[in-house]
Amino acid sequence: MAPDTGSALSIRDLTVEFDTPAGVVRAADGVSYDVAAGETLGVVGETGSGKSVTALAALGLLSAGNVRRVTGQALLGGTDLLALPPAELRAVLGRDVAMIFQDPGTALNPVQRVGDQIAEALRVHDRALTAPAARARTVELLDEVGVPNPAGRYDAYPHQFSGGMCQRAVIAMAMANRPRVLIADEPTTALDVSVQAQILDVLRRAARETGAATVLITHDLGVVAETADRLCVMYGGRVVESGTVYDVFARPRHPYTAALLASLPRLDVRADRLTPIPGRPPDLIEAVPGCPFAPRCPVGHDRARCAQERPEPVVTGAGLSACHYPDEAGPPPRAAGPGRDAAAAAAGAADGGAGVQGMTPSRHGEPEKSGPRPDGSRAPDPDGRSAAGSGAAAPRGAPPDGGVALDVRDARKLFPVRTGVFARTSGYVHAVDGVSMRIPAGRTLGLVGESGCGKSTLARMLLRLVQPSGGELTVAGHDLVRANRGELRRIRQRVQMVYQDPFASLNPRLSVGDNVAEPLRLAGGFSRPQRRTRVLDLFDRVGLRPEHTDRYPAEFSGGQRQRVAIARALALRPRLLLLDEPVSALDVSVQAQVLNLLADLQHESGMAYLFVSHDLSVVRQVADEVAVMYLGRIVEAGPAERIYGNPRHPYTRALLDSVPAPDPAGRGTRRRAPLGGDVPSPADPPSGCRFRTRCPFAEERCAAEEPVLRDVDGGLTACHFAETLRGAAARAAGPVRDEVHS
Amino acid sequence: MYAYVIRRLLQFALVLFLGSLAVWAFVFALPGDPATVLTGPDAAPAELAATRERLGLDDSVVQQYVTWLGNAVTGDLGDSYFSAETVRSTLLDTVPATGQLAAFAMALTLLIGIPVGTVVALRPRSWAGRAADAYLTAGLAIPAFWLGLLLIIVFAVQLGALPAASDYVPLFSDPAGAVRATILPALAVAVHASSVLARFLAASLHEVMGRDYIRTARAKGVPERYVVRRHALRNAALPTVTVVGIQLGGFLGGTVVIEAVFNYPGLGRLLYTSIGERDYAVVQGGVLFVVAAFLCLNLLVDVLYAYLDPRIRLA
Amino acid sequence: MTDAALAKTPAGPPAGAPRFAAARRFARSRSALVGAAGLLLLVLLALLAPWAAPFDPNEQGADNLLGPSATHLLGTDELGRDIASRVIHGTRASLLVGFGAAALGALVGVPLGLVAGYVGRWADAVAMRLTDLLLAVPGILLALVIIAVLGPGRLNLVLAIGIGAVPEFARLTRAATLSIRERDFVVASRGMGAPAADTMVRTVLPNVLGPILVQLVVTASLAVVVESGLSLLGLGTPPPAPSWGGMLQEARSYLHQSPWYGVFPGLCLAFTVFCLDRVGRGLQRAFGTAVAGGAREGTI
Repeated sequence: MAPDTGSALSIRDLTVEFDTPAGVVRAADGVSYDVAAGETLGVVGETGSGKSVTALAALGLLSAGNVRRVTGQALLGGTDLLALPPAELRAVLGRDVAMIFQDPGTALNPVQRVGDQIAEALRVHDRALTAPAARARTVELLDEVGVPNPAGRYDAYPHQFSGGMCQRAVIAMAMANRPRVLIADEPTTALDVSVQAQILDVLRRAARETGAATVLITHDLGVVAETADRLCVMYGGRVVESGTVYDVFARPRHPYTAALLASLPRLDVRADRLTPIPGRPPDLIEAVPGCPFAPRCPVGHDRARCAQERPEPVVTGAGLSACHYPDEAGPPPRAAGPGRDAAAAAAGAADGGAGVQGMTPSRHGEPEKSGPRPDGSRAPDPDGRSAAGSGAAAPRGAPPDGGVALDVRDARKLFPVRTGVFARTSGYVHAVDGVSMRIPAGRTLGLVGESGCGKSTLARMLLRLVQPSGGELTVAGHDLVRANRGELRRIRQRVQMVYQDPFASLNPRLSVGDNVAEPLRLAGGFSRPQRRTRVLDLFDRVGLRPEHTDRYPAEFSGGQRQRVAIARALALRPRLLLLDEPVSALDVSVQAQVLNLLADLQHESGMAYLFVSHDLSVVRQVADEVAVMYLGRIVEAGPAERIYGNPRHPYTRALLDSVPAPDPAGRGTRRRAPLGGDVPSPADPPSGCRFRTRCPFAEERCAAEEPVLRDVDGGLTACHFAETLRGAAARAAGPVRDEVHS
Repeated sequence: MYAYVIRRLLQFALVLFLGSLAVWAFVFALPGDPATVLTGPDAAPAELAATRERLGLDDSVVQQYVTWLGNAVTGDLGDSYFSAETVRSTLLDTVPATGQLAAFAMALTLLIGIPVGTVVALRPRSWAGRAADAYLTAGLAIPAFWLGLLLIIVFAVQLGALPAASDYVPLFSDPAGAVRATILPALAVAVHASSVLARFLAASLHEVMGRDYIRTARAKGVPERYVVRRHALRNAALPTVTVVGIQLGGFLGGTVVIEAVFNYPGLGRLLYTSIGERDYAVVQGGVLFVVAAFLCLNLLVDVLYAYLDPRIRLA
Repeated sequence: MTDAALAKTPAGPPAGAPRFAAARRFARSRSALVGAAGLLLLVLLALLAPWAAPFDPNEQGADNLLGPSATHLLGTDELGRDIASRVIHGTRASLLVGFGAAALGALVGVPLGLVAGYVGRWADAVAMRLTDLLLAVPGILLALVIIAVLGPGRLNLVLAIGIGAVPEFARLTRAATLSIRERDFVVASRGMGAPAADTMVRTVLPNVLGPILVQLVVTASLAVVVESGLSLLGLGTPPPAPSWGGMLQEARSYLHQSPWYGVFPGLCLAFTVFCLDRVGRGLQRAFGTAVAGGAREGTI
């Protein structure tokens, strides 16, 4: 331990600049933070905040050719890593300080055995270590991080590991030499929420066992609230606030922190309206003399001092805040009271003045909604297949213009698995296996599930981008399955889709205006001037400036592009909008803008939404009804209040438990029962209940008999024990199961 | 992996079959049928008919192909139109010469290409990197046949150190003589080929060096030279294997101009002269050989690749 | 996108249409500009050959095999023709055949690859086996055989070399199409009800043009070399029209008497390939495409 700092790692005034064609980008600007042994520091920030660049630069791992300069200090126990010659630095890396990276799928060498890669970390720092000894130690490490059958898995290649397993291997590699500092750069961002909970557990254990100081870099405030001791918030390449997790979450001293917390969709309550941060993140090319957050700041945006004078970190309470007016930063959103309303009103006003409003009056749980349909067709099918449904058939739930936008019965999609020499079909992946749902006009159905559960396949089936293998699909009153080419085109005009990645969903070779006009051109019957007028109108509706129609997608930020994509989807006034993870590629502050826009548009037009997402908190904010998918089946569905407030399926419960709450208060006592293992292969789903291999309550019956999706307490649940698992009592009683060894 | 290899094998068989069909059909695309070519324009009708009979041109098309293919499979590619020899023996005279030239050229290509490519990718700003880059820029621009001509001018005409026209001297009977006879054409081929290889390897290596797993290796403290050796080169070499295979295939059938320039008695020169003499039986047999050799090499390379890449091997 | 990605992508939004952005990136590379300037010079020489050349290329006005002099900058050939004039006129044959063959290859190969990649299944299988077949014959040999069938002539040269270039274009276009066919903007086009042909032409094609353009340049340089090789064998540009390869062929007979004869035509050839290579590399960087060309860049 360095006597002069008392910290395991001290970043001092670190500045990183890149040369880009557009100019010099200062990605990190005088960043300083400390982390002590045994402590976890969360470094939080959005895209481009400089949080990863700082860490990579400190360890000399920036490999891009356009690094212009790295200045400052990175003191590891008194030694400045930035001043070390390359060979000496390399000797420190992996031994005293180790790093865990974001994408476990690419972090391992694809042509080397996983075990050998871990053993290499041991052997480069200990030349005396023999190969058998390194192997034995590696197997121990793999066991410590929860890789099942570690001796056998030593010889596997990375492609034979799941994402979660790869990340465990990377963690094993990082802790191999008991480093004093562990730096984890977005270690769970690429993973599913249930796997994220496992990996965070492993990380915690690794830090505890090695006694290492941990730097956890993340964009996810929930992860920080759950795991960090102290917190450091970055914005525009600078540290804007730091302090203990409890202090910062309870009383943010920087307006950015406060705004970020306010814009977060929450799992526990449904906000009437999210409070986004207006505007967009700073352009790091133009060096601003003042505070980088000033243009978006409710406190400082018209104060001259904020625009001209750079705020230096000042001690406020127990932490530091780089704000001229730290005491004016709004309190966090959950603190009930006038402060929150003020913040909401301010942000609302900045967002274009739309009032705070609910979406539909009837979104609170109404048990009768999940009763039989008027025509009686909602009962389970005679052959025992589930008729899942979500859609609230109650007539009074439907808006005035009425009608059912989407009616899906027993939809299936089988993808053939081809193996062998002649690529013969040896089996089928049941991507979607007997799903039924309904969405009335003007309502939103949230479809949640982890990757590979079939939710995106289902969404694509509704445009017949994926050919259904069976079932009845009625979209806006048209039979989708039997539609011929011409009918299909007409249906596709009534249903539009917004895709996940706004960087990929717009044709980069067309101007944004032409992108929006595409559906009009394809539908035919619109003259050029008519299209132009319509495009301008659409731009206005989604909050884009009409003079930007001739620009190209590359010139827009993610949030703006998603607005363009939404405008395109609205061009033909569809009755149903399929939203496939529409905000998961966006930063939190921008995410709230887009969610509010979607809410406003639905309110105006009475469109129905199918909102597909892996993010339970986001779905909480937008959905009237929620359906939870697992391995191609709906395991639970019903009104949002019922699913979130009274989940009856162990999977739904586990998912909800896995989501880290953006609130450190009471985290010590919070009961978490993370799911073990990975999702089984959909090509070979478990017999009986598909969830049983990961279910803490599974019994013999679950393997033999598939549970029917049935009415349980105002919703639909497919679990044998749905009636007996009640409320919190059952949740607390659930045994905490670790890894499923398979 | 077995399924992969067998699938590749079937594709190989299919393409080889298509290739044989194309090679066989090529003769029919020529102006005038083979009998006319063989007997000359002024031949008597009886002579023409006899020739047609001998060549089996009066059989049905399918019958002709089946007969031809059956013979080809057993190694009987027919008789040369003009010389007294069979096509098979004519080819067998030239294939070893071309094989030796290809082997020499490939050895030089690897010897030059791998270090040049590695230096260009890893040390672009050092003097060695700049020199290597200059070499590959020049090597890519200078056509092999012109370089061959320049080499002849310098080493044969001006210095008189090496022969201007290369004979085939088998390596095993006279190693020194074989090197003397083959070095110039091999060098002419290898300068260009090694530049192509070096650029490909450099691009591949450069890309690999930016991958996440390289950063992982650095982060665990692996010294840079081992990062390159254990992690980067292995991954960059994989796609390069394919390139080397294609190049070797090209050396076997595509050194026509070089062999003509050096008057080297190989397959390329044989094909060229046969086309000039309209000895299409030889052209047919030679091209069939080249196609078969190229496809075999490709198959080998694909199998090797599958073996080297665990993602395919263990699939 | 993490902020580490900053290192790779420009942080600020680039202004203007993507094609102009590519042009700007191209113009930022000095080596690419040198290549473009050289190419422009060659094109001008080809266009203005009758005015640029000091003599008629076929005029047998001087003594045979003269060395370089003030009148005949590069000397004269075995028939007393001015070599400099023949070299300048030879630019025409090279560029015409080079670009003609590349264009032909693209014209056939790009639609083939587009359909193979987008439609897939049987169309893909058929197209790929066809290209496998064409690739199994070295380019020069294929051209040689085709010339044998079609007979000599400039148009036939273009055909012979162009056919050999088809598979490269088809494979490249197919690979590029495959890499974007499941991208969201292509899926979105289908989802909006666009017919397959509309998606292919309006959405896929413009987004794969970058690598195709690079390949066009690479193929042109390859074709220039093949043309010269064929001419050297006496099967290329028919005499007496001047071509670099043809001059090299003649030079071979007079290596002792005038060793400088073959130097300049070859140098022009190398310069042309060099310029095309620089331009190709510049385009490649400008479009951010992967390695183009590959191994078939010719063994001759």
